[in-house]
Amino acid sequence: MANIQFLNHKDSPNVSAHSRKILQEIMKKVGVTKIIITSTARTTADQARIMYENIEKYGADEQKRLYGGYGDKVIDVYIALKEKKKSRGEIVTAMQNKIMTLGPGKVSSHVADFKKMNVVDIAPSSIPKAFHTMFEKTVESDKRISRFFKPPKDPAYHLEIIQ
Amino acid sequence: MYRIYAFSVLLGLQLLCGDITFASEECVFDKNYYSEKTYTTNTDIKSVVWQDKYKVAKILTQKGDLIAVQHWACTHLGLQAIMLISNADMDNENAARGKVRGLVKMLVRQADFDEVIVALGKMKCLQDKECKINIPVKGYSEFYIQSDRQQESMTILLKYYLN
Repeated sequence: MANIQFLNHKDSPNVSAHSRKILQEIMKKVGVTKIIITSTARTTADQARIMYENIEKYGADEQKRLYGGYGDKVIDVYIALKEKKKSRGEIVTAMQNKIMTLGPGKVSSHVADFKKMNVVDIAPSSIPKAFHTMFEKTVESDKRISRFFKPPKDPAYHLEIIQ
Repeated sequence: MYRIYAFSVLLGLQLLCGDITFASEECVFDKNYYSEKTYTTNTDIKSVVWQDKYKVAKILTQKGDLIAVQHWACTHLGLQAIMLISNADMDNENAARGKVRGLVKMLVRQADFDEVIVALGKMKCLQDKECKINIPVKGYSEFYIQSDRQQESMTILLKYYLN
């Protein structure tokens, strides 16, 4: 039984039946019975809303320190429109447009069109350590996985699956 | 024995670290977000050894605690810290809780501090062999504190990241 769990249940619809089948095949091959998905793909609208909320919480300066050059350009849109007293909706829409202009993948590796690409982060802690190497090798050899990041380079197993 | 265990934990973390250098243009997040300066201005820290290639900090606090921190700042942004608590403090719940609070104060972003402290107050299993709480701070893929008791010491793991 290959059990796929989600840290946030609302993420469940963002992983297609095709992606689940691939993940379950990998799990069966490795002998892993459970994985926990900590994050999935999001839309450009979600990304803009998240960035807006983070700027409100942490401040524009902190967020500019945190993001690379492309993210900074999206934050600049927030700053400019906030000065003009624009509404939250107007600012988020403008930030979304900027993300699309720049290229969504440059602002977050989790922004994708679910119909074309599924993105999942899997908690390494949800897989017994004895299976880590085998899991990594199996994912790396699977042609259906277009991009794969793993610890220590990243905090999670990051898989991108073409639909 | 505690010193040997502490050394082995820190060495273990080091061995987990591969080369995590990135081409900056590929990174969503600013790869220099974390640096030696993150720690050198903190008065709670007595000394820090920063390994930029691995984005690892080995910290000795003013109170004599050892902390090893792995940072990520590219596709994801966040950190994983392991602190050792000696047998003198591990069996005193208030002392152990104070150590965890100190770790949180040192490593959690200022705007998240209050939320994490509230969650820490609900961590009732700190005296158990293993204990884990997920901290519901909005915007993170994972955010948790985990404790693990050995015979003569205790480790506290703090991990959070966003994407």
